Amino acid sequence: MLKKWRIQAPLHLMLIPGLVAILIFSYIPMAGIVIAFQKFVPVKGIFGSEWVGLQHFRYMIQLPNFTQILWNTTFIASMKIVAGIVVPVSIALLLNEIRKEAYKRTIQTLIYLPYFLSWVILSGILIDILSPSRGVVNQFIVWLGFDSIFFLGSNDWFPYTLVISNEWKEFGFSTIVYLAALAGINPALYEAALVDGASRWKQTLHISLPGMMPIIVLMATLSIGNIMNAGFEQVFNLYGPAVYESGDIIDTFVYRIGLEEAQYGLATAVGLLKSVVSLLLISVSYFLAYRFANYRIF
Amino acid sequence: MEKRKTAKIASGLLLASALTLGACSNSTNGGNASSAPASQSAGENNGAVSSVTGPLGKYDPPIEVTTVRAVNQAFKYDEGKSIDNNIWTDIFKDQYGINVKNLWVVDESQYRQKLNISIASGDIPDFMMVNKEELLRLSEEDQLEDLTTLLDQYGSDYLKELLNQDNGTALKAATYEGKLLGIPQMQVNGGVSTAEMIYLRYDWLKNLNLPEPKTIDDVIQIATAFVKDDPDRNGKNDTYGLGLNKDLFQAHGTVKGFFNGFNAYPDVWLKDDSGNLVYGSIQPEMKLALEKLSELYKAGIIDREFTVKDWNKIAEDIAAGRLGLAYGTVSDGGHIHKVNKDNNPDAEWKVYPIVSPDGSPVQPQLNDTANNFFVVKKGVKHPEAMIQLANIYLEHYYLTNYAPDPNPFISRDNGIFPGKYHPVLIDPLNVNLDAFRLVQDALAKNDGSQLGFPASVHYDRLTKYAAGDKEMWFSTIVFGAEGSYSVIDQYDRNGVGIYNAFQGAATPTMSEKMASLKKYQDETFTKIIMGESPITEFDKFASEWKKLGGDQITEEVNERK
Amino acid sequence: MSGHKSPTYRMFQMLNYGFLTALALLCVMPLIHLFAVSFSSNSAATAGEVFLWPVEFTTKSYEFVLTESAFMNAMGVTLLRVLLGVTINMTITILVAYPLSKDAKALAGRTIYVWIFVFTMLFSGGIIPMYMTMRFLGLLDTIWVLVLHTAVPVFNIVILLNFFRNLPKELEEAALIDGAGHWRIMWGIFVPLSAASIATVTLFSIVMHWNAWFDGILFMNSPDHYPLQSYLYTVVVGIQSIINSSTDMEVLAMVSDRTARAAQLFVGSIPVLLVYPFLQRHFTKGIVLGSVKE
Repeated sequence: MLKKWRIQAPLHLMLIPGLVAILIFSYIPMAGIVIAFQKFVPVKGIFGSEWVGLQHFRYMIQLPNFTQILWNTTFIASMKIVAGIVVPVSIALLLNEIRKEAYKRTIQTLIYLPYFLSWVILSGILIDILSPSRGVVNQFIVWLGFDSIFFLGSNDWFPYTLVISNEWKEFGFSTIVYLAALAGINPALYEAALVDGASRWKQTLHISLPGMMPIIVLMATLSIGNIMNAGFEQVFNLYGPAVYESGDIIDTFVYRIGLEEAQYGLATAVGLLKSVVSLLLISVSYFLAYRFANYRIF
Repeated sequence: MEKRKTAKIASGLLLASALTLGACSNSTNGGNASSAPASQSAGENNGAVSSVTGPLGKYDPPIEVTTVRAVNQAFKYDEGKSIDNNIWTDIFKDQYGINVKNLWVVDESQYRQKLNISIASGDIPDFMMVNKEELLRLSEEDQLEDLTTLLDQYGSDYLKELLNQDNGTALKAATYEGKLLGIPQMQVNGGVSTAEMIYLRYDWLKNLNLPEPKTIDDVIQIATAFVKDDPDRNGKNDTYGLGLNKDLFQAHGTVKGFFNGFNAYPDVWLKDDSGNLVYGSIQPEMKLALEKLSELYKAGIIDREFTVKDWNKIAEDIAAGRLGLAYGTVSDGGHIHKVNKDNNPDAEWKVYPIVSPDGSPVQPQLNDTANNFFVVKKGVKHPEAMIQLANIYLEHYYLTNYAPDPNPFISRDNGIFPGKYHPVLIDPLNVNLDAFRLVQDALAKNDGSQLGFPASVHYDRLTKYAAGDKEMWFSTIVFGAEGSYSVIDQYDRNGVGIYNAFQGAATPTMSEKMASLKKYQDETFTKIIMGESPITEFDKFASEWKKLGGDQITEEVNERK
Repeated sequence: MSGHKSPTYRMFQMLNYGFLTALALLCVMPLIHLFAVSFSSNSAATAGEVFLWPVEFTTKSYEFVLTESAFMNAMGVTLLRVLLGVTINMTITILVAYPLSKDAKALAGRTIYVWIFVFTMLFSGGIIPMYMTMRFLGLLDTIWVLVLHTAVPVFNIVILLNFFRNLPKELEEAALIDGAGHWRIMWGIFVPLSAASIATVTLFSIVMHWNAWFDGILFMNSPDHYPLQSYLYTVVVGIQSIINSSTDMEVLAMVSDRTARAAQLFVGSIPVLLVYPFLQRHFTKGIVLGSVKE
């Protein structure tokens, strides 16, 4: 027992700085969650504001367009989650086939660039290139013989435009972690496969993909937690009353409520609701994976 | 509870020390004050702690007051100067014995956020700028000093005059239960200067031999011709008719002015014939205007893509010579149409008052004269200091004649604008309109030597433009004889303009339901304009609006008026 | 690793090269646009005439940026923040990821520890209590407030612990038998063998610190202390409120200068764009693993 402790002690010791930091900078401020149950008025502070119980949650659910907003949010977010796994994994695998190292690095760097531009800038560019009358994308569509599409102004297209343009911005950056996973695969495995005469495709299927699997599962699990986050910045910069029907999400709506006055109570309540949903989804995935595959995702 | 007690003890101590200082000050109240019991809170005995009794005295020894500041990218400083140390702070210190300390300074886009957070953490400065909501919350918590008598005693005549320019509307908005709790920050371009107007590509109009807009039908005729008759004579079908932005009721490409032409007033409260307040957006007049817009959209006169364009995109269309007609506000020409002129020196722009269907003068809707208020924390030692600072601003900025030297506070070529460093900016509501009038008189007499600030600057630019400096076009479109201020001048002379009839902070149901109702409204209006919904949808909107909380809001608003 | 010369595979490779090249071009387009705008005249840029090539070429906006002391100042704050922040982040990341990469037998309470960390990724008290905490600690308006509230990057920790877990168990067991302690195993075996994943989380940490803007505005008491992204936020977004409220023509003309904005955004993104190519060489070092006996 004592020996076991002696071996383990350094491990516990290593955790101390991290634990202390999150205690101070995460757990203590977490007391502020109580604001979600208050009619928070800044001048009364956290300890003096009036308690209103679940009023903010009730208010949210009773909003005349709550179901629509909730649907928009989860619909857009879940498409983004799926695209956010499928696209980067595929691109990582495609990049893995590139043998010319310099070329591969160049591509990697170039696809990483859009991540660093804010939606304020990207939205201006998108509105131009997606314009039905003057945008290059529609000129191409018309050239192919189809009717032009009002990507940002039509409720049929708006959510998909959001997902695709978001992926355009993010996939290069998201690819990095999968490339790291590929780099971590033992080359001996490929050599063995080669001896067995496995094709590149077979190698991808039986070595690369399984090798990436822990990271894919991890990223998927963590991103499920974003089911209520459809991307405020992006939607805010691209939407308007014409596409409220398909594009107004929880965050943009709460933002517009907040314009009237500082609604900290409501904003905190919304945040708390999202956190609870995330926690539920993540922990369910975690325990299912543990139960049925005896695998701890993290 | 604990906090308040400490505050009381502290203010008691402050009072005690002030009393001993009072002996050597020039306070005429000194005698009264020393007879007051020392336990009395400072807030109830305003005169006692000050060492200055009227406007613009010097504190001796100097006092310190704290505040918080919002700045923006346009704040530039001379070498070695900053928001904490500049020409104003020197004046405060040397001439008036006031040290103003900024607890924090933040970019104005996040001012509200930082202010509320710092209030929540218990950091309230001696004086600060707040909006209507914050004013209401702070006053409900009894955190604000009553300024009624202070303004009376310490406010300079000019300050009082300025605050009553809008017939006391803004002061009334800052008054709760008979107490004046904040000094309204009058906007530089407030009041009648917020009325909308029509911006028109005049060279296109001449190309097409069309009349100037006098009625809505003229506007529609011009807009139609601008789309169909190739106004720029380039042989291409590449121009839009009437410019609209996706937000409908703000910035360039708004249609508020168009609605006003139909006696329709979106997003504001109006007094009906019986004196009750009603919401403008649901009145039947809106329907006519919406119907017209939907016809224009259907006919291709309004850009099919307006629903994705914010005003920046409208500005692009104007700059690129694709758009020659839109509603806007007084300063738009100086930075939006200016770019078009830079790109195409042959472009000519003119500005017109908004029009009605029959050509009768229109009552344009006006923004509130003040959105922000300067308030003083209850119990501070020198509650009057904020008012003194306002006096100082007006005295040095507007009332002092620096001739032949330039006014040291006005903006210079390098973008440095020391006037703005002042923490209590209260400007004359019509400062630019008055300047416009003075400049026009001076131009008629061909003598600008007698002009004070800011008219002198505009006179200078306009004469430069007349002498051939095309860079100064931006001044002509605003302050020129036919510039945007000539339209404002016309509105003002005709005495037109409608203010929001409800000036108070949001009522409970308003803060709960208004966002949903506004969403419903904007969505419905946009769809009607785009033809996705028939015009009859408006009637449904008007009745639904009432049911979804609008009736209750109306009730609350009427109780509060 | 060679010898895949089948016609199908070669066909695939051609398509693959073509596809990835097209994709890369699509991605580099917005940056080129920004670059083109920054070298164009303001009137051309405002008219939306600039797409991927400068119109009415001028270097005026760069003359502006390079003499704009606020910009350079903010860049300095950000570089300091990244330096301090990433050092703290990586120290904690490795220190926490290593023990948590052990299974529950090797570290008592492992599952509880993991959830204590993951929980903070999901729940937060919001900005008001955070501000109050920082105020209480006296950290407001210092560089430390920016690096400490993000000191524990749980997302990075979880990623790194996953990578650590996938290292061959035999290594650790052999080392333990040789009498090596956990500190030596961590620094001597795990860290060197995880070059790619450590490079990845380092990059994440750099990017996180680089991109953060809101905390700068919230916690700093003067715009002079803003890091670059907070400063750029005031340039790009804060500008809107000026345009809506200002009447001073010079101010309006100055702030609506799109080219200067583009130049600041462009120059402001160069350092972080350069970081990635630099870190990329670590992504091929996984080969080291091959030399490890199994």
